[in-house]
Amino acid sequence: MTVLTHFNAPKSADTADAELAILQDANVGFRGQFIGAVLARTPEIAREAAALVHVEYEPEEHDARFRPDHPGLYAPEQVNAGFPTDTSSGDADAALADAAVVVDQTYSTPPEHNNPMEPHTTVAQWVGRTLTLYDSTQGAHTVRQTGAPVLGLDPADVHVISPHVGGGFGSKGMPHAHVVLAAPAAKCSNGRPVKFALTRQQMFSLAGYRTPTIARVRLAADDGGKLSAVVVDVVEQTSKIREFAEQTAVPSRMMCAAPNRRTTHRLAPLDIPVPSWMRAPGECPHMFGPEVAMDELAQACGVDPIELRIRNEPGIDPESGNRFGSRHLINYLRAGAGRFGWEQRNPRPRARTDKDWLIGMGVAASTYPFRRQPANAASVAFGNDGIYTVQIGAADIGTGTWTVQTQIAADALQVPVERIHLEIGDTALPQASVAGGSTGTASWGAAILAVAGAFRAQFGSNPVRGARAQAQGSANPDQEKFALHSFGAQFAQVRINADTGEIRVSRMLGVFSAGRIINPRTARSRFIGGMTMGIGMALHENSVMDPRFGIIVNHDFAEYHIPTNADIEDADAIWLEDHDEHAGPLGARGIGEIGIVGAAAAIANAAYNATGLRIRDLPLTADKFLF
Amino acid sequence: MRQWWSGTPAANVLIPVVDFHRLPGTEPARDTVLEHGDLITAVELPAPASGQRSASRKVRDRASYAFALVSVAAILDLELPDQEDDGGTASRGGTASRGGTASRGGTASRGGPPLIIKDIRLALGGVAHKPWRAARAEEALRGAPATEENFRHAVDAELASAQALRDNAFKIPMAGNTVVALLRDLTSAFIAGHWHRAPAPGRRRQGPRYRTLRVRATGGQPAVPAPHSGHDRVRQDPGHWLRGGTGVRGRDDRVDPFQRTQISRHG
Repeated sequence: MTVLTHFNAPKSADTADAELAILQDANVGFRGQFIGAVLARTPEIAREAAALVHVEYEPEEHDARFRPDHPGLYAPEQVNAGFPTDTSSGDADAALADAAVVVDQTYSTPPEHNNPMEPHTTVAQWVGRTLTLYDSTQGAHTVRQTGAPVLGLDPADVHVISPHVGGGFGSKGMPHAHVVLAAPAAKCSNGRPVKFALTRQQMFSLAGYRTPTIARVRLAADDGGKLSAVVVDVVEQTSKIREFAEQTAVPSRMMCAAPNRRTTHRLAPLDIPVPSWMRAPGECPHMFGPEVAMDELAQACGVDPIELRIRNEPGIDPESGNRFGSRHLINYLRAGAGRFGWEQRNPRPRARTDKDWLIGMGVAASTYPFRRQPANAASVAFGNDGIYTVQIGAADIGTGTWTVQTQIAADALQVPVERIHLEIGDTALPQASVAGGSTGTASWGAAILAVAGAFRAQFGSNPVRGARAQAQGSANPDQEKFALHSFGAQFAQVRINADTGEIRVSRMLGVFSAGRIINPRTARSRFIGGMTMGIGMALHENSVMDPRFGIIVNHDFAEYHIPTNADIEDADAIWLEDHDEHAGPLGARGIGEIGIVGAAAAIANAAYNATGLRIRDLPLTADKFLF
Repeated sequence: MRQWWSGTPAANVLIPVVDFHRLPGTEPARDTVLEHGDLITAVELPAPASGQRSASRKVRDRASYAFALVSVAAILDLELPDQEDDGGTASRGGTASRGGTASRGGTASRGGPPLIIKDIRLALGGVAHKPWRAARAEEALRGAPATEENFRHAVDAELASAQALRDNAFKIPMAGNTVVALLRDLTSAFIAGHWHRAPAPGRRRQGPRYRTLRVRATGGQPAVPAPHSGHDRVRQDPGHWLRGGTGVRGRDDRVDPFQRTQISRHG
């Protein structure tokens, strides 16, 4: 048995990322941070031993209370994905002052935790100077690139293996501290592998989460709802030890055709765990506030919410001036309205009941940007058995990568899928980008298309046994020339018990555009999965921070609610035929994240239509509908 | 086989369920009066008396697998007002056509004066350290007309002394609303059970948790055979007394229909 603490742990070669610089000194950045580890023969022994360790703390002042008027609010240099922190076009204040109709409201989303079913788990083993990590990750190469400098290793000496991953939702997009804890621990085991799996409760401190957001949204419009200004000011939290600035206001820069626009982001630095990516960072929390505000504007102007969006549909991206690669939002809204039975909605709130339940319908727009990751390579080898082995270090986190990339390879090589043997999830394979940002299918697929083309060009359609080719993906030449985004429309029907306030989503429909759909079955599952998570965001998910202790108090599945099967009654997703020539040779964009975007706003708007109560703070729990 | 436990019952103790759970006092870790070595050997659930309607309602933040925000269990026994009693029997049978109810939206309501609450048992969950018997509300309602207004006054009286914590003030109106809704539904069910001879097919599956059983006017056999003893049924289905059991006639024995817990004390 070994006990690792900052007294005896090896020094990190690179401590720039304080989240990963564990066991380096006696300071504690937040409650739940690793301060030591016990290495034992079984997890039971290790946990029991860890519980016996006596720790003496010297208390210091701490601040774990998120608030919009936090005295330490600051503007980060940039926000996630490299967007500018603040933007301003035209004179939004003048437009607000002159407008016939102004919506000025504040909306909030709570902290939410990704909670994939499979906990973050790493098995580490040293053989000489070579470290092998069996890791639950969204990107084997990302773990190597990030982990090797921290551990002071040549990336070539780090081998990461992760062919099958039980969900991630962004929390496995970059390695967290457990990886750099397992690696030095395995140095103490005489060459035996060391396994470390986060407990569910630890996942609330050590695996990232979605920051809480508070967004003040101001819309200025004429009597008909035509927007003259959109202003979105966002406050969110970050950990003091490592900055994460979610790009929450960014989508408002291009959703509507308002000539005057302003967006800002401010961070409250707190002594709390480090926030990170959670399914559709930026877009997902963002589309709650402004899409509810649009519903409020529609109500104020007496305009149907779909018609309001039609009136404010931009011809070009207002921010860049570029043409949209493929927008069609109006088509999706109209198609969804017909399929959902939007005409049955009574625009007057609280007008429809069924026994003890109030019924309402709502709509919201959805969007997600597209970017193809160029840093991808793939190889094709033709074997003695007539099988094409296709290799790429991609990840399948339950998303269908195994299936879809096999299809892409079969299509590109013009052979049946039975003759494709795909290999993914290993740094021994050609380099691949992370399964994140809804970029996987199109980015990896582009590399496979490239190598298939190169292979056929070199070896023809009857290759010799042992023929092998490797090719790189490429940057998208249209990336900066066009505004590349996916769009969608979310429709929800809810019922709210007039006595108890209980809210249930009776029906939900998403209509999405994501370019070419490679596999309808896995795609539908991805869309509905996103919408289901959106229902969770709307109704359930809420990580409750106790600022006295800096701990998420509901850190288990009994108290951190996600939807159960019984909560998902009728969810359907459709898409319109689309082939985005500007996205790349595949014609596909991404589908992993857009399903969650806008879902909570559609449900909140439906709840307003049912009750006349405008709830601007998620989640929409029963207590908020008691009247 | 190795014997892993030995001992003989030192005493058999019968504890009324209202005394089983305890308030925190100076020992907040103790939820019940059980002591070390105690073993619950039986839970007695006497069948409700003839004609009584019972139901429970669990209000929660998601559709399943969630703690109750508020839960309510109630047994309601209604009778016609004296001046309209059809012959002075205890009959509340299907041939009677008088008596009314408080109900929202016209469900199962009918004309005439409201029915009188002959007896009521009411308990709340999720609002206190233990299941909360709403004795004050029961007292206020016993003998009163079964109107929504009276339900509301009674539960308001029960909750008047409730003290909310910082984050759960919503439980007071939620508990009040849920009690009123449940009693309203029970009253409607009572009427529906008596005046609607043929429930719609599939109703027992789709509808609320009570059964709309019909009871014959006077005499005859029970509409549903009474279990010979509560125990067998109870073991299979601890909730049966909340969902059914309304068909037993001639057994108005005034036994407290709330559970009693039998405990063996081992020395």
